[in-house]
Amino acid sequence: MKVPLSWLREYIDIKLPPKELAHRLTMAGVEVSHIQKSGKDTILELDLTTNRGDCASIIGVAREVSALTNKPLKFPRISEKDKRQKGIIKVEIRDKKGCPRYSGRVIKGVGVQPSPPWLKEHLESIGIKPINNIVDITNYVLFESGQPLHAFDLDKLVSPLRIIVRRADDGERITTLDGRERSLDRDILIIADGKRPIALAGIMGGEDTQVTDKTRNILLESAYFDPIVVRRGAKRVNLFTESSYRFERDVDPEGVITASRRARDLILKLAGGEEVAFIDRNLLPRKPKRITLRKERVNWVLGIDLPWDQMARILKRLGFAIRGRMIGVPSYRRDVTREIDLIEEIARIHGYHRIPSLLPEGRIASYSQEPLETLAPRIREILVAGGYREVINYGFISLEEGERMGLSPRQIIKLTNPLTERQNIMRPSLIPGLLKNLIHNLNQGNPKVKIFELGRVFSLGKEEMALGALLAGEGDLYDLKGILEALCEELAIPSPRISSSPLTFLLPGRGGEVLIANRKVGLLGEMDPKVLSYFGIEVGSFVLELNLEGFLLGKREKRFRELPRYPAISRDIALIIPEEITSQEIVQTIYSLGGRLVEEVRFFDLYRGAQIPPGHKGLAYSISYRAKNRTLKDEEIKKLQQRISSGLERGFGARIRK
Amino acid sequence: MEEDLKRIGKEAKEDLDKAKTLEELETLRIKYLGRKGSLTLFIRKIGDLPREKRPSLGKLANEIKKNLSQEIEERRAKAKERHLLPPLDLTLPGKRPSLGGLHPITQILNEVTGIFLRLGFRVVQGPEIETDYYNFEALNMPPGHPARGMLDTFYLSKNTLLRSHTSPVQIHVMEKEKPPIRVISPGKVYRYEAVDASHLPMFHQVEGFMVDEGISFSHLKGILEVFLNGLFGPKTPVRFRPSFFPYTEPSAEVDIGCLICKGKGCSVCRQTGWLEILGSGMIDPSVFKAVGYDSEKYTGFAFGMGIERIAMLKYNISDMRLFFENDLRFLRQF
Repeated sequence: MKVPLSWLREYIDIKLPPKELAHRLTMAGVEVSHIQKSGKDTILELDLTTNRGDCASIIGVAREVSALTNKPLKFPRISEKDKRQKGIIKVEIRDKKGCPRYSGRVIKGVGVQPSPPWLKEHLESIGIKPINNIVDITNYVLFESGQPLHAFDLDKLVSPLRIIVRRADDGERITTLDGRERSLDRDILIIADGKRPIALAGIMGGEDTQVTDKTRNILLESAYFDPIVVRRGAKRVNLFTESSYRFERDVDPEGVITASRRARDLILKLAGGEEVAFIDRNLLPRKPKRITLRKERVNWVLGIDLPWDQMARILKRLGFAIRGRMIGVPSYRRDVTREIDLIEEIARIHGYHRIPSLLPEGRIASYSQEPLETLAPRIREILVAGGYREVINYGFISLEEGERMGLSPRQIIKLTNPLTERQNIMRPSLIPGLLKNLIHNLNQGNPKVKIFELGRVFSLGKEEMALGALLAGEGDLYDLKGILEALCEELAIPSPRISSSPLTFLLPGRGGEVLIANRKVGLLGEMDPKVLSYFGIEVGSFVLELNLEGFLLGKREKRFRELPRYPAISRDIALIIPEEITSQEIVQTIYSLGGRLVEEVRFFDLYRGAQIPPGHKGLAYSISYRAKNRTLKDEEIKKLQQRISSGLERGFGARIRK
Repeated sequence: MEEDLKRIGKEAKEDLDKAKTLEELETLRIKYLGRKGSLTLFIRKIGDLPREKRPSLGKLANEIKKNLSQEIEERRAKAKERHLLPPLDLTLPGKRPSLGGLHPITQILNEVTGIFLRLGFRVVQGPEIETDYYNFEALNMPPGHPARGMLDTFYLSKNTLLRSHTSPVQIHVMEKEKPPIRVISPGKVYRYEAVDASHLPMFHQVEGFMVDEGISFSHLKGILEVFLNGLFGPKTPVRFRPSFFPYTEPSAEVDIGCLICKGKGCSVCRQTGWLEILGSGMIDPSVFKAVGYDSEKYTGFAFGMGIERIAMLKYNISDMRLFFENDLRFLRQF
């Protein structure tokens, strides 16, 4: 909101330089976001918080300045006489919650013409275009007092004059002042005459009843509309005006009539005419709100030691009435309803900077951290140590991407108001995001991509932490499997097994589910090129995804194992076997044939080539033998190695390479 | 036989002249004197010879062996003298391991939570999919509340939504526990906002709150000053400015002296010399009521901050979109 200093000075003497004034307002919670020079004048741009509707006017800001500088306010002189003539205006309020107060005033014989220079200048200084004296006066009073007003051309209203405040019927239409025809519904409060809607209550008037150069007689409306009703209506028709801005933030119910009188005085002065009738339908309680304030509570909450008379002085300057501990709230402070609200008033005027900074002394809660909280950093560390770089992606992806990942529509969580079709469901997997990171990097000329993400994935009724990793442009599936094995070993989780069950987006035979102790905890494999090409990717890509909770279920405590005292002896074995035999079968067989002296069987080579017959592969292992209590002898090893070799030959038709 | 031995001796002498480094000397030693070295094998064979030939040949072999060992030892000692090692061009680059790294947002989150952990706070995570009750109503934002307009929200159904701030964690924790409470809660939040250089539909926040008997506004100031000095440096100016949040009263916006212009005024701080960094306040009695706390007995404060904004200020990043594009050239800089 714009506040010209010259206009502000009409209501209060200001000695402070603009910068200092802006600082004082800001530090009292009325934020001045810009100070702008405009000719001789200075304009303060205010950024009001939603609770301070009372500051959305020049007088409102003047009140705040008055409290901050302890200077009296100068109000404009307003005649308090109203022409209370029965029978001329009938007001029927059908929505008493939406409109608990409605006043109308009929002024006849006005001369509509351009406003005098002072009025035009006032409006122009805040960026409002002058139109004619009647409209300008309603705008002027709005900005001066914060109370929105509207003037109808009385002769355009159906006679006999009847004002009805009600919800619009579904499908009812009105063309508003901005020339747009709008279709209405039950959510929108309207003002109607005997026949049709003539205004969107608190938002904007209708076009065909507006004041024009030809207007002679007017109906001046000043009302209190419910903040929630106006807000909902403005949202429904997507029309936000100076008027709706103020009603949404709650106007002063006692200011309704003052503003109407102020406008009346100005109209009679600038446009002539005569007040013929006035009506005020008021269903609001008249009694001012009272709140008990305890001095000890103020000091307790704020951590200060302020004497009562200082608290009272602050509140008094803000317009509160003090009667002992009972504090009367001025009608324009709609945001103050509880003792804590008064405490805030005292704090902000006293100054936050005058409240001391203290570190709390006191009880410390005993607690244990969630296991995932302590393990997530460790998981990140392991991946980083493995050369993977962390990425963070949006929590939503597109429905199409979800379908490509083989998701059935039942499992999908859709956004009802997505920003774009590219982000319309919650991600069920981290993989689509990683693939998008891959294509972005490929397009940017980063051919080697080794990334991971730790984040939530979503399925109906569930939200779980997942770990995803992607490898492309370097290494192969075994590199990715290696990082999984490293994770298991570092976290004391049993070695993973990869099932051969096919998954829709992985190449058959080149990926499957990750099993830990026979529980499915994720997937590992090479992406199906068909899915990759949907993402625009043409390089082979390997992915890993783990459900972290499931994965960590297998975690055991780490236990120290005595370091061996006697040396190990290692012997290599290289064999040629039919393709279909897996490494796991060979390794298990070596362990069982070798018995307890076999400490470790380490794979070190896989080869196919000239010396290997078709349909076969060559595998090589290094077997390490060790006894706990002695140094093994050469002959023992020879015997074991012999037994293993012949066992493999018999069991798998293996040929041992010498 | 004797010829053989002499030939071995001669060869060894020639090899010895070529061996310079420790490695070469060791290879040479193994070749002649190792378990399967040629000299060793020769000496072993002497035992098989007729008795009369043994002493002379044995003596010769041992002499050669002794000389060779001695020579190797001397040369070893020489090779260890440092000036004999060829110099290296130290302006050549080192061979770097290919390191991974943490996302800059994770790094800032770690820094922020780390400071609070040292102050006795603990980390609690809340769900990203929330209900209207936790996101709004329990936080003193009943339907139609104007502050809801500042938190434009993604909905999944009439009643479920993507949390628009991390404050619902306050409700989850206080529903389950009694004071004393010190909790910090980092996480993702979602806003229905068109994407530009300073707005994204998703970003990260850290929420924190502390509740007990006798917690006052001055403690809020004390804790947050310690935190901000920890994050931005010990001499960072901090100011508390009255503001409004429905779930705190009194509320304070917390500013730090502009990191770019050091308070002189620049475009980043809109000439004010200050940067808004945190929202905070004393937890509103209506929030305590929602979780069944006696607000006469307990008081507490809460605060929240946007992590992308902090990262942007700390690293001088001007476009927020970079965070989730995950360009490796960007990520490698942190």
